Amino acid sequence: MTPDSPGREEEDACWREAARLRREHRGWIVVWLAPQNCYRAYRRLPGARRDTALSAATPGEIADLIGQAEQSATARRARSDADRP
Amino acid sequence: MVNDLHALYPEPARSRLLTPCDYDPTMPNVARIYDWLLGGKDNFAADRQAGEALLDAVPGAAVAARENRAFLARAVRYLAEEAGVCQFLDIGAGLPTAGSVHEIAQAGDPREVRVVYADYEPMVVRHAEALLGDSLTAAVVRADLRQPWDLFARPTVRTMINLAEPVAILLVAVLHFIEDHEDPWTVVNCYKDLMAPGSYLVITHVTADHLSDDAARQARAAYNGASAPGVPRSREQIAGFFAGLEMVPPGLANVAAWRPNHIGAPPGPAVFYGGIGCKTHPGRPR
Repeated sequence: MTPDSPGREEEDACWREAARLRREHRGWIVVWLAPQNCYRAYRRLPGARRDTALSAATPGEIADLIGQAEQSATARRARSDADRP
Repeated sequence: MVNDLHALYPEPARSRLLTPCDYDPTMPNVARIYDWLLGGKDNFAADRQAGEALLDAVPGAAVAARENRAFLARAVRYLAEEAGVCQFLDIGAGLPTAGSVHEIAQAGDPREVRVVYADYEPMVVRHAEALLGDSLTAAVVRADLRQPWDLFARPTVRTMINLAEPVAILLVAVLHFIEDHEDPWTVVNCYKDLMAPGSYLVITHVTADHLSDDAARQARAAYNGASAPGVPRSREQIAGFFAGLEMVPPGLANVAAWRPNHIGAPPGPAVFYGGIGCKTHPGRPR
């Protein structure tokens, strides 16, 4: 554990938050990266682009980013459906 | 006291991935097929039958399994002796055989090097527990490589592996049991993110690059009905697992040609590709 990183109990809380986020966002893998002091979310999509992982310092921020990414994906799908003959 | 987050926050998916059944000797099991290929004794008729079918398709499979095992030994020796790695996480470790990771890594000073084995086969875990006894520097946990968050929440892993320090993560002959739809690349990206700078990732993976279409189909069919599918991948696909890491020379290679102990006849066509990548910078590997 680095000097700036949270203590064991705080880290446990971060892992719990990551678990909660995984339950709430089934299409995502969310982990707590202790060394980097941040949450990271990976979209569970076979063949997903490798650079679609999201990072944020707090559970709220990562949840917001996931929400935005899901909204963008929904909009893209809608556009794609509309373009289909 | 270490909180068991695993028990406190169970993931619904675990019940599907980590089935409670212990073992079924009538179902070919990938760990036991590999054991049979290596000449081990921990296998049943169904495993041997699947192994024979594999050898029919790929006559060099048994030799390749031994070459893969020898690569693992050289890789661990390199990491422990040259790279100075003190923490090893062997994921999908398989049945213990002579020359296990902890025996090699701890050859210098057993007190300095910690090794954690992870496997999702209960039988493998029990064998490893029996082998390791009450060792303070080597342990085994039952976990699924597809769920890195679960593995790293285990008290044993969190106690023995300090993610703030360099670690060697070994995914040796295991990623080819994960199908594309489970996106093994994202899973591996997650492991890479979890590693501190200075950490190493070791991967070996079966390829069908040098097999005819028929032989590749036959080889896959040998794993039909087994505990996991066999998914060979191209060199390019395997190289993708190392994206963002600096490869240790000679890079991704036929395992038999990776820093061989003896210079002899050049190896035949690759059945396993293997390599070691180093995370040289703190940013996210791309």
